[in-house]
Amino acid sequence: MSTAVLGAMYEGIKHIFKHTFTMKYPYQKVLLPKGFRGRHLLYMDKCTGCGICAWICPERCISMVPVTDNKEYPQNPEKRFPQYWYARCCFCHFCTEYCPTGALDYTPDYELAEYDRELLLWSPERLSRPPTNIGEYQSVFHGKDGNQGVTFEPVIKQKSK
Amino acid sequence: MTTEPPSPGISISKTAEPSTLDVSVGPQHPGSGHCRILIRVDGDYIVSADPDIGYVHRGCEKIAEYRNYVSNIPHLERPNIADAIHLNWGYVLPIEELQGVVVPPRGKYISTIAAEMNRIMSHLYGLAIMQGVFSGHTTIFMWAFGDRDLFIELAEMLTGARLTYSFLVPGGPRRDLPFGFEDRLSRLLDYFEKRLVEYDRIFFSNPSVIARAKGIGVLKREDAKKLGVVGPVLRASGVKYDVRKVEPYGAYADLEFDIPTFEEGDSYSRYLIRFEEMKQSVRIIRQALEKIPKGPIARKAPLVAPEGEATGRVESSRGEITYLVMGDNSDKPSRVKIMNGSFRNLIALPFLVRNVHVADMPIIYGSLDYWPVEADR
Ligand code: SF4
Ligand code: SF4
Repeated sequence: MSTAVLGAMYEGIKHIFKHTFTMKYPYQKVLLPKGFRGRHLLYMDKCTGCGICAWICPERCISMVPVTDNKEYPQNPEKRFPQYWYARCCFCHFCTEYCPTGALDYTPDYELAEYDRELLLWSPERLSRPPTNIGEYQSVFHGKDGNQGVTFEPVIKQKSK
Repeated sequence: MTTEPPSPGISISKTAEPSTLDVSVGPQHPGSGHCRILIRVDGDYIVSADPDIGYVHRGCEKIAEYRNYVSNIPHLERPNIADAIHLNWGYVLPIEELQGVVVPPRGKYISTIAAEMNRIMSHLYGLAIMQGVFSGHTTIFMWAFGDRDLFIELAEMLTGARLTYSFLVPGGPRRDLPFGFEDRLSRLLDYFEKRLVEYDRIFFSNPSVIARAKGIGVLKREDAKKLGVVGPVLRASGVKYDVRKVEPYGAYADLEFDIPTFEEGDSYSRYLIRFEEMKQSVRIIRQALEKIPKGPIARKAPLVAPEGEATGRVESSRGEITYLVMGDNSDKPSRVKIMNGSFRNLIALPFLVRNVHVADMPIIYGSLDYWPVEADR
C-alpha cells in the first residue's frame, strides 16, 4: 500500500524534471500536414461552374454566383463560381474531392473568425487568394522513446540537429 | 378522465418519504455531460436515480433521410466526436453491403489503423475526463490529454482534420497513408507504451484511486446480460463479447489480439478494461502496420443504393454500434436507424447508483464512459 503511494508520488515528481509539453499558441503555431482541411482555395482558371461542389455539400453552404470582373474565363463562359458561407461549413472537403476539374484545393488557413457575420461570406475572388497561415512547430520526443518528455519545436531547427 | 399533461419521461414516484430530497444533476454539465439525472437522496445516500435523456437530441436519423449517402457522413459522426471513425464506419458498412462494393485489402487495413488510433484517443479522453477528473485526479487529466494530442497530430496527418475526420466513404478510406506516417506512428507507439506504465503507477495502482473506485457500482455478470449493456461495460462484468471477434469487419480477421475481461464488474474494473484495451489497440496497430498490403485503397462506389436494407455492426470505444440503412433506388437512404453503446449502457446507471454515497455517483457515471450526445442522437 505505502509503496504504491510512494510509487505514484515518485512518478509525479519525476515529471517536474521533464520538458514542458505546452505550445504557446498563437505565438507558436503547429506545422500543418499537407492536405490539412482548412479553408478552400479556388483556382478560377480551372472552374467550369458545373455546381457539383454545391450538390455534394452536406451543409448547403455553397451557392453558385456570377462574378463581375472584366477577365475572360474560356472554360466558364457564364462566369459562375462557387461562393462559400463559412458560418455553416463543416470542413469535410467533399467539395474539393468531388470537383471534377481540380479547381478547389486545401489550405492550412483555419483562423476564420470574424467580427462581422457578413464577412463569413467568401466570394470567389476572396477564395482564390493564396493561403497565409504558416505554422512551423511539430512534436519532438526527447530521450529514448520520449522518456525526457515531449515538446513542440520549430521544424527548421529539428532538421539541422 | 384525467387530462394530466404527460410527464417528461421521469418515472420517479411522486410519493416521496419526508426525509428524502430530489436533486437534479445536470443537464448543464456538473459532470453529467448534457444529460439530466434526477436523483433522490436520503441523507448522503442515493435512494433512486433516473436519467432523463434527450437534452441534446438532434434528429440525426431524420436528417439522414434528406441528404445523399455521402453528405450524411459528417453529421452522422458528430454525435460522438471523440469516436468519429467508428460512427462513420458503422454507417458505411451497410451501404457497401447494399451496393455490393468490396473494399480492397489495403483500404481495410488503413480503416483499421485509423479506428484503433481513434479507440486510443477516445479511451484517453475517457481516462482524462470521465475517470480522472471525476475521481479528483487532475494529474492523469493533464497527462492523458497531452498524449491524446500526439495521436490527434497523426490523425490530422492521415485524414486532414483533428477530430471531424469524415474519413471513410462507401468504397474505402479517402486517403492513403501519407509519406512518413508509419515511422511517426511506430515512434509514437513506443512512447505511448512507456507512458502506459507511468499511467499505471500514478493512476491505476494509486491506492487513493483504488479506494474510491474498487467495489463501487458492482454490475454482476447476470445483470449485465439481462440489461443488455455492451462494450467495455459488458466485458468488465466478465462476458467475453466483442464484435471485432464475433463478426469481424475490416482487417480484424487477420490480426491477433485478445479481448480483456474482468470478473468483478465494479467501477475499478471498468477503469482497467479501457486501460487494457489501449494496450491491445497498440498491438493491433503494430501488426497492421507490418502486414499492410500494397494495392488500391478504395473502389469507386455508385452514389445510388438499390432497394433493400442492410445492417452494419462495429465495436466502438463505448460498445457496439448498429446501423440499419434502407435504400430505395435513389441517392438518399429512406431510413437510417442508429443504436449505439452509450444508449445501451446508460440503462445500467439507475441500478448501479442505488444505495451508494452521493460522492460515488460521479465515479460510477464516469466508469460507464457515457456520452450524452451519442445516446440522444
Ligand atoms: S469548383 Fe469544381 S465542382 Fe465546383 S463548380 Fe467549379 S468545377 Fe464544378
Ligand atoms: S468543406 Fe464540406 S461543408 Fe464545407 S463547403 Fe465543402 S462540402 Fe460544404
